Amino acid sequence: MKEIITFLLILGICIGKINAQKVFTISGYVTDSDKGETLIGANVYVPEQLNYGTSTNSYGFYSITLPENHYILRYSYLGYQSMDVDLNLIKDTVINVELKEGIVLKNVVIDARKEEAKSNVSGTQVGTIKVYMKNLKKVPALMGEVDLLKTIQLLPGVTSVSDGGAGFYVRGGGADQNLVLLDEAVVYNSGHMLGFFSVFNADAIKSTTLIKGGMPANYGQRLSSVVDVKMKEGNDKYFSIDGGVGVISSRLTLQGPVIKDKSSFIISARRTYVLDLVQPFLKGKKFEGTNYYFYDLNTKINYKISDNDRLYLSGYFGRDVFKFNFATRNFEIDIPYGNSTATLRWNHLFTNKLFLNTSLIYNDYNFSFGADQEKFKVRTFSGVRDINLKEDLDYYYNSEHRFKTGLNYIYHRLTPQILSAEGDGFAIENNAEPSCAHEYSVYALDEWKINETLMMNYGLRLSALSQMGNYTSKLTGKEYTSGQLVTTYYNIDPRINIRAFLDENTSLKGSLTYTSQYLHLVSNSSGSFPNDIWVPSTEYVKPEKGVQYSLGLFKNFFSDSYQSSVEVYYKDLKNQIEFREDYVGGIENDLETKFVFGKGRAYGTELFIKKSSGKFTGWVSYTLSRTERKFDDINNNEWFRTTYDKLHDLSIVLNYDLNKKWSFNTVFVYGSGRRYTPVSDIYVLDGSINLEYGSRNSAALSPYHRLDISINYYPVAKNKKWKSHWSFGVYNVYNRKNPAFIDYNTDIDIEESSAKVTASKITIFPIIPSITYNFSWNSK
Amino acid sequence: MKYNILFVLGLMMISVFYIACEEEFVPDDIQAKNEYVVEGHIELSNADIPAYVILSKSISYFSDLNIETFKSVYIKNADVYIDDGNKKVKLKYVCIKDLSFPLVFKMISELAGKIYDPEFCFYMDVNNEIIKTPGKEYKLFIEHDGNIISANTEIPDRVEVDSLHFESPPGQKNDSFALLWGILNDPPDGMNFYRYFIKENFKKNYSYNSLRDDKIINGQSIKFPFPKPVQPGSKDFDFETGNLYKRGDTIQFKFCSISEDEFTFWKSFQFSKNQGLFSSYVRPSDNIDNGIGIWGGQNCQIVNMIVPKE
Repeated sequence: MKEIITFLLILGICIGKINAQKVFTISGYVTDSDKGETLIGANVYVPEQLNYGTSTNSYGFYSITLPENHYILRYSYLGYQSMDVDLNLIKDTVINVELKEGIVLKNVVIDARKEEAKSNVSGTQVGTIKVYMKNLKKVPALMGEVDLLKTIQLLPGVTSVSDGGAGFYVRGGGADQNLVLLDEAVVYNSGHMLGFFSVFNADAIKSTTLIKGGMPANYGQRLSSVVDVKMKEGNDKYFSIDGGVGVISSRLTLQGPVIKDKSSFIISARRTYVLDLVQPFLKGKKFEGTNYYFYDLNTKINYKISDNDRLYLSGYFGRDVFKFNFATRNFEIDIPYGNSTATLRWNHLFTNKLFLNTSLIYNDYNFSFGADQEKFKVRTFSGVRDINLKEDLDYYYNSEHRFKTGLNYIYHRLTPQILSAEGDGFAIENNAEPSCAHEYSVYALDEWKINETLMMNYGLRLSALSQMGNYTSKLTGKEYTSGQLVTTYYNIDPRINIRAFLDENTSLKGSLTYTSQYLHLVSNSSGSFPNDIWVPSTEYVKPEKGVQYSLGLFKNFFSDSYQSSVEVYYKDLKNQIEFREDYVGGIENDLETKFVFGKGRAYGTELFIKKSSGKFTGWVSYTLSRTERKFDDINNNEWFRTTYDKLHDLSIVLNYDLNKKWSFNTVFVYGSGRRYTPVSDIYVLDGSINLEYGSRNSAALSPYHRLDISINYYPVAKNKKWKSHWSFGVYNVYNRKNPAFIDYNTDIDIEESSAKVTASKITIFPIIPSITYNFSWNSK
Repeated sequence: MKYNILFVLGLMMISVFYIACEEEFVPDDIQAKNEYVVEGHIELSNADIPAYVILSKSISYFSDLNIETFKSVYIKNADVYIDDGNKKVKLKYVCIKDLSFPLVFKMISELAGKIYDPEFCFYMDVNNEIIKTPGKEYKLFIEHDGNIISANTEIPDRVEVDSLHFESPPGQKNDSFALLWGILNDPPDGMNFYRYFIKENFKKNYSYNSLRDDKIINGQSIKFPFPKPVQPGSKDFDFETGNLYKRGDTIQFKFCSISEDEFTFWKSFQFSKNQGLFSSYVRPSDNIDNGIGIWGGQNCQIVNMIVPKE
């Protein structure tokens, strides 16, 4: 409470200090000159006075209010040529800027990459990294599949369990504590093929921001991180087709104007086909029809209604489909699962300082399982469905204050495992009822340039969740009917980020971030699985809470060619959830009674050095960290490390553009071995040898390391409309056998009086070469 | 649930990533717990088997496994009692070879597939002094080397399967094998838990994945298949016919009503043995204080059948 009062006092003082001056506002959109895409996070500033600056918001809009004067206003964005606008500011002015892609000689135009690099030092947020798609596409990838989430795992503070572990973990948070957004819609399962590939088709993605600390108040719902992915809007200048043919999948993207400079669309699709290719060989065999594939479809259309109004409609539909047929016994299994999202967005400019975004979002994730054998059929279904209404208001008050406020309402409908079965003369079902909840939040934040040295982003987020019936209380036995309020939780989360320049190229940043989480994904696997079930906070399951303290030193070297940072963090987590140690899965109508509750802590140091300009680019990231949990019912209430606790985690990513035709890329990763629970004893029971386990995660597998390389070849284009390039890659070049899992086998032969206990380490990915052909065509 | 989704997902990944490889692994050597292991049964059935307890200790994972090692894990100098509230009976430490007729045959049949050594010894209510009554609670009390191990269980009411019969298996015609069907008449009151055992040709006992509860069938009479409960991956398991019955074989179908504690134990115990590559470890949910294992009461229907030749 004390923190809240302090916060309100600060807010009051700040607003009180805002004084009136003769000032004018420059506003507009920053877009790509070639395709018309809005550019998110483009810098707009006065080079002579760095205190006069802003950046475009998530929709490409900017507004800056300056005293009457003559200015050179600079617009810059990574990978684009910067543009300077000479301006005599004597009235409010709208300047829509189109930046040209590509870098030209340094002595002709300022290198935007270096300008962009300044934001490493000048931004307020700690632990925030923008992932640029051009960089992403250069990183060598498993089977040539460019993968956003795998690339994020090469950044400091982000890790995975192993090759075989789905999900990613940020600064000691669980896999369900990452808010993964695609055009503002929550993606509840971000992986295909049990998490080996992400659901994000790189061809359809415009930008990605990872926030692992210092989360501003406009983000909520999760404790640990935000991965904010924005889809492309579609080329509004001309038609184009981009595609690729790879080892396991192919992809195709079409985009173009519906009405030139006013409306555009994009459709992007991807599908795997490895097992389709073996179908002819299965014909007539006992497993005929057995198959696995996944696909994605991204679509978006936008329409500029007027200078002040824009409409966007975007959607994603993806599915994994697994079919198992055993023709000999007429036995079939069918497992489809995946996400669907739809986002309708309206941007409205009330004035040149006041920008409103309204989003209506639908998202759905479901997992189905079906098994048939003649008259006998079993079906299960689980999922989560949200309807989400969101209002965000940006108020560019003056050059010192930029306010942002908003509210959000989400209706959650979480379906537990619903089972139905039918057979010879019977039909049964488990009558499980979906859980429903209303989640509300309201926030306000201010980005305050206190002086040329100090800048602060501070805010407050208030949130609540109301659990609704049907529900039977686990505490009192009371039965709640559909729509009846069971309980409501409230949380107040203050957020503060402060930056102080130590010199022109060095800054110190600190943050304090309180977070709350009302939906939980509890897994009894070593990673997360597609059949894991999301559950809401209930009378029995309290909301998870977290607080993170971060401090970072940010420094650019050699005229901003190199950016570096050292960050330390400490994270305290409450109401953490795990399954009981004897939980075995299956259909549970009262899943929450299988949970145990505890707390967590994580702390670490992250080092990051990045070079983003020149022929030779890349980064080195190193994290030294510890992640622990403590539960009354696990490990005798003693702290234990999580499976994803990694003391050392090193990633080196290097790209070298030799010339216009060839580029070379490599990734090296090294991490401490994954934690596992070792076997302490064996015992005989039921005529078999059985395993008794020691303390949870008290042992580690051997360290993980791997080297990947890729070479891109860009043939000289015979005409301007058609371009192509080849990408040759090798994953795990030196065939390191990184253990993903341990498999124990116990054999006892009573008749022979013999017994054997063996353990094996399973390696999933040995050396894997890949080749991908990429192409693009345009109607220009 | 009939089909373990996690297992299928594992299968799916393995089938896709056939390139995965396997190497021997030596886990960290950690301090063994040397816990007391209890396997005790009190059964009401027409087989009239006396209550018995097999008592052993767990040994280090790195122990040498040979006949002598296995003989040494069993504890012979413990005091083992069963208390039904009215009577406290001390169980006698007996070896199979020393049992009298017909008890010796009953116990050989009961332990078929588990124990072949006639010198195998355990604790038994040799004179069948404990009266087994449905709904009654039975306490187990063990004293050894100053340690007290205890557990409680209850014998539930019996629920039977009727109309047991064999049908041709689904799918392609197969003259050599059949599938067992029967009608389970689940009572409407409370939760009921079941486990069935199949004994094949008086030799092997199968009971893997044969646990059922009435969560979704409460109070209904339903025709169910009873596949032969063989653990996938075991040497007895054949993918095409592993869960079918060979025509001409003699089988014993034992259908037991069991307590919730026992159901939970066997469910978690069996899962821990075959949990798949991707699951974290599972500690079976036992009902033993100061030890691991199970002290379980069951009320069983036993039917002997010959799988008919077509």
